[in-house]
Amino acid sequence: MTDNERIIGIDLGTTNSLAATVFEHGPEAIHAEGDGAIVPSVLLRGDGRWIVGDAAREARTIEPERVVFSVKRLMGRDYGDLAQDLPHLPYPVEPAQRGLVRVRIGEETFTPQELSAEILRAVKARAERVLGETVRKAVITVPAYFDDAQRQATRAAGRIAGLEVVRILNEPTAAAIAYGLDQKQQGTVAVYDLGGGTFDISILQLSAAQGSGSVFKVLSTHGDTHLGGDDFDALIAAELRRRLLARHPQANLDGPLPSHLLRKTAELIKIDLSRALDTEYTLELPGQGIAFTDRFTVQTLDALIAPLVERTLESCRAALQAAGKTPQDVEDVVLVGGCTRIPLVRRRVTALFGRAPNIAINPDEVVAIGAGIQGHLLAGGRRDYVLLDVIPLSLGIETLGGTFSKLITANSTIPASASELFTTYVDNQTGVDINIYQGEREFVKDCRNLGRFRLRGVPPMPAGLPRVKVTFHVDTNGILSVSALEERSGQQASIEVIPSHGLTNDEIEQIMEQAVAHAVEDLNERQLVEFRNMADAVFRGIDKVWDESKVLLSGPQQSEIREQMERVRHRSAGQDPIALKREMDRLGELTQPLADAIISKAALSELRRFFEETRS
Amino acid sequence: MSESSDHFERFGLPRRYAIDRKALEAAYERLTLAHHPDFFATAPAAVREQAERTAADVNEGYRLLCDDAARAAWLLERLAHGRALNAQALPAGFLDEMFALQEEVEELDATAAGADDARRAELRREAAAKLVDLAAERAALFATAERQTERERQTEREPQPELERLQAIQSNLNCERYLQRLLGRLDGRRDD
Repeated sequence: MTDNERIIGIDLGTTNSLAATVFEHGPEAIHAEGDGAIVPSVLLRGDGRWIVGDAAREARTIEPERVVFSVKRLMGRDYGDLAQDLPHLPYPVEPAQRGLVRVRIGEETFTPQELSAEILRAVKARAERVLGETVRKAVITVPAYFDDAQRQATRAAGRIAGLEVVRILNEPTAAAIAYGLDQKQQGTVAVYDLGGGTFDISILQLSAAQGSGSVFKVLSTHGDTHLGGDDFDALIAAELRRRLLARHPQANLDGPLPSHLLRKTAELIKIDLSRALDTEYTLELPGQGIAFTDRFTVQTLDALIAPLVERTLESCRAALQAAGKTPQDVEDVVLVGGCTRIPLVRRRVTALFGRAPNIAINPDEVVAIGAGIQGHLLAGGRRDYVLLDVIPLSLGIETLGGTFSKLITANSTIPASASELFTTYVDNQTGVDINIYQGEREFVKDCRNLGRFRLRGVPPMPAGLPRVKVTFHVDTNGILSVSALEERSGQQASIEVIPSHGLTNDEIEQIMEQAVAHAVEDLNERQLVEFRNMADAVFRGIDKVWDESKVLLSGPQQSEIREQMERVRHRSAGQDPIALKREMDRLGELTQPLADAIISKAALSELRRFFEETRS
Repeated sequence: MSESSDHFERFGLPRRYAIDRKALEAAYERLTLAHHPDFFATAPAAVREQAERTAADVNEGYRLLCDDAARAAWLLERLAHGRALNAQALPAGFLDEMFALQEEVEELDATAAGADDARRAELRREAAAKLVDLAAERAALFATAERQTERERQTEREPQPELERLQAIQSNLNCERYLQRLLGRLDGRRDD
């Protein structure tokens, strides 16, 4: 039944990705035997193919120029937005059409959407292997503070990966579902989610409605889509670079290899210092004859990251204020994301809320598990709770003087709609352009431009007479859609969306077609290998019985088989699996009498033996 | 706000300013559990879109019914019954008082951060106290106007609350808006 087709939950993270679903025994991350649940969000490009996960992560210091990581930071951003990130990334990022960016690997370039799609494909493949079924639908999580463009980019990545993205779900909300349902929580809950590249704080109200189900209501959300473990790593790496250069001023630390190496060491230090007060590290640059060993203390780490941790606390205060709550009102603080293992983070969060945080569920898996539960609900598997999320940033249009006129304010419950009347300024004007922005500032120049909506088909009338009602709708995914109606004529005006960022539908289609073409090539190759192996096996079989066949088959039959074997050999050296299969089928037909004869001969000797045995 | 839909009706609440919060919350949960698009994720596109629209309308209704000023403005328009009210009206002296306060906030904004926190806190308290007074006055004005409407409805006369009283509500709401903006500025919000 299509209605109950499984919808898995996928946490598409900056550093790690994983899937979860609801099994017979309950919701759980999808663990592959031997591989675990987590697929590192790292890609390695080689021979026109992608390798995603642990192998790619390991290749960082072996083939640094072919490895891409932290793609999530690039999603839905334009080149200008990324000025602060790019110096920290060891791979080149280039500007492309409409401010899009592309990652360069050798001769090829890729959009962040395509790269994220490869990660999703790897997660999907692992889930399919474990579940033993095709996965077509998914809930994909995003940081709550992702804007419209970043959400659209994530949805596009899902489509490119061949997934129907049934829902874009906010990460802290997903975590709240997993916790709330697991521990039957009620009251005001704060979810503090510090991941690999993004930070979110969400304040939720959990309540049990009268008999019919629970309500998870997000009161407010705040965050920073460019603050996470990556930034901590970058700070540690910068410190390592400084120390190394102090000791070895001649060291050359340019290029992808030293950059990956510093990063990798920084990650290890960060992880070690979650459990110890200091740690020893070694930086080796064998090419330059450098091996540098030193110690790193937790005090140094704390001093480096304190300003960033402070920024997360400012977000917490803003979210509390927007929710109309004080830290004392919060009854439970849930920690999500690998970076919440850092002792300084735990101490500061504990101090702000005046209570020890809840870490009952694995912070690496809780988001995926919540998404899996939500997928189960969306697939019709349960309907005992409802999730009310909010739009993280205000949405509006540009009005006179470049001011930003908010139509849907931040922290409005979604879905949310707002309508605005537009008119014409010139007689017989048939079109109106509307610029859409997202943000909290007073002027559009300080907000994020989402795109231009070009209203067409307004009936020709004197200036100021048309009344075009434009409706802005933010759906449950937090994604905007726009429709327009000319009220005097009742005519549906057409809206053309010109996105400022992100891929147009045509571009997504194009990438998908290419992906399908690649898939066909891959399939060809797999079949070719398979048929060649089959041909080899058949040849070995024929050789084995050839001496006998001279007795069993006529001369013309024998030469026909010999000729056909030559044809198979010829096709086996070629690239066309279909042609190879055709010649093999023909060989099968020709050797059929041989096979029959050998089988009957074997049967005869069997019978003979049987009679001899019974006689004796 | 969608003009056509009556949010009070949808939430099953009497159309009056005083609101039963408990009943409102219960109705919101009931409507949400019935209409939320997540329960229609695998339904045909048209059904899904309808659920999106209905849920957006329910959310808008909830927001409006929770928000005293928004609920008051909506009811005032219906009580006025097409009669014109002076949308800018303010009590005598109010505007001068506001100008003086705004100037003070601007001066505070120009000085170093943190220097005049005590004065800011005092201004915030004063504004909050004024808002409480306004809310009480508004509730009383509505109660009288609504009682009158109810009486007239029983005598089958066209209900027409006194214009003067409605005008008082209008200026009460105008004061509210000025004070909210002042509070926003004190909190460092420069928008609206």
